[in-house]
Amino acid sequence: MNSIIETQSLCCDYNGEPALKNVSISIPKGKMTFVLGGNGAGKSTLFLALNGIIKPSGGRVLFNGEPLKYDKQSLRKARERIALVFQNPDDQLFCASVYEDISFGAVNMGLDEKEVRRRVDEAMEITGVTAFKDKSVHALSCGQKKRAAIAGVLVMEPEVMILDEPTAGLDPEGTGEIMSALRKIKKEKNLTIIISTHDMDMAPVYAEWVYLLDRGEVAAGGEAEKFFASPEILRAHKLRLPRVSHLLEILNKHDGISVSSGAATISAARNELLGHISR
Amino acid sequence: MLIDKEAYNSRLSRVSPGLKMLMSLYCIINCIAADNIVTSLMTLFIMSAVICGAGGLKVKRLIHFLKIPLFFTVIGTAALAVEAGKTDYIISFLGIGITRSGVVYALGMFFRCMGSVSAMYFLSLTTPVTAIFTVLRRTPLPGFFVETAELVYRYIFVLFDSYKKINVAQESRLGYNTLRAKYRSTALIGGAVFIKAMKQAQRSFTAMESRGYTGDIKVLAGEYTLQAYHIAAAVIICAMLTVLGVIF
Repeated sequence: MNSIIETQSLCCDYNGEPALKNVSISIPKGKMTFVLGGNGAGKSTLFLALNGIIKPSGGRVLFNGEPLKYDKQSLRKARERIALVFQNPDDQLFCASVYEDISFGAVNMGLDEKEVRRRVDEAMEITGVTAFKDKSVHALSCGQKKRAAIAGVLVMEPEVMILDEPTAGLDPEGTGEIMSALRKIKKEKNLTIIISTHDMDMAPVYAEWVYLLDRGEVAAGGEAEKFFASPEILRAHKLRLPRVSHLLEILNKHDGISVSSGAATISAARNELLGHISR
Repeated sequence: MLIDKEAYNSRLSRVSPGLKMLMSLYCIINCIAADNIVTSLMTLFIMSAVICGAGGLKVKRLIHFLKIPLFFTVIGTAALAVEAGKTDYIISFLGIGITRSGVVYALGMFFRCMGSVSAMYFLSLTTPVTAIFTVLRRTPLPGFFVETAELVYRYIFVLFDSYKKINVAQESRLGYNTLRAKYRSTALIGGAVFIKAMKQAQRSFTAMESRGYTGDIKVLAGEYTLQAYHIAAAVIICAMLTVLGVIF
């Protein structure tokens, strides 16, 4: 596996408390990795450590095999390639105008005006922000703000995009929109995407790789299909099974129907059930 | 905030904010310096025509916005009609009264004010605040000055939202039932919003750092159009008002 970001025995403190304990993970390049965990598991702290905002108290973070250095120059370079999208878009959108806020990252990279405009137009196009680019930020809806925040980091043309709970607070339509936008962006820009969530029903649909955090430690990780094939581990760590897996588990254990609870998405479950019915 | 919303919806919102600022400023100064009713009325009329005709604002809305300055102007200028120690009163009482010259003076002042206000509204009802900041950034004003103003503008909405929510929560728990409760709740909400502002500042700073914040807020300005006919229209209007000011 070609890993683009790695942590080795990473220990981080947050507000004086140890938030991450000996976290060693490998993020595969070009794939969508989901970091699952309940509240307080350390997902946000992990993300802040990956782009150098939080310095580790132990262990290290590697980007493309090189350990992250914490001097100003190196951090600036790292942040051009590892982009972080925050959970609350109001934390990230600080300019009054949408267009100007999106341009911020690119201008900071020292690019000339023509290039910045090209990148901003492209980022707005791909996230669907062009329709409201002239509006004021406070007039946008939550979903629109999230997409504007994503556009604001896309202009930096990063290699990795980390999103902290991108679907939190969105209605089902908004969730669908963001996730399809992310899939599209990943494909067209060849990005590695890391997402944290505790939406158990969305994760199996989009995840290619999964890590499970609990109380600052890695409880499990690996290929998404393998992970969701034995999802009972989720219960032990403050989460639940995807509804579909849960249903199959109940059918299996209580009703004696031999279907595997490893099918975590609707299409997989459908195949399982159809397979059983035809037997 | 309502004015801001109208500015975004105006058909003139994409026209060069620099031109509009210059025109607005010129017309205000001209109206005040000219000091005659014809200029003031023409300023009022032309500015309103531009806001509603070219800008697309409904006349009813403009009148609604003009109500407040109208109120203050009437109260302020009415007093000017009253003089003491004169002999040619229209109405008088105990040596103080309204004179003809006083009325003329008051009316002149009234229309000067309303004319200037309409020129100011021309700017604020057709130009979004973000456009004005775009212009201010290019002036010799110190960078942090404009940055601070812009951040204040942006975060007023965020914090006002916070304030409203806490207010509703307090209201739901009878926080404004008695006078004593009102004082207490107001004090508590003041503290709460202050803390929220501090925390927001910290989070926003972290996000800005993640996007390469170097200490200056450098952004690319949105693009505004400046056509020949915009400049022509502005020049013609200003010239006309100047001429009127000189003649009368």
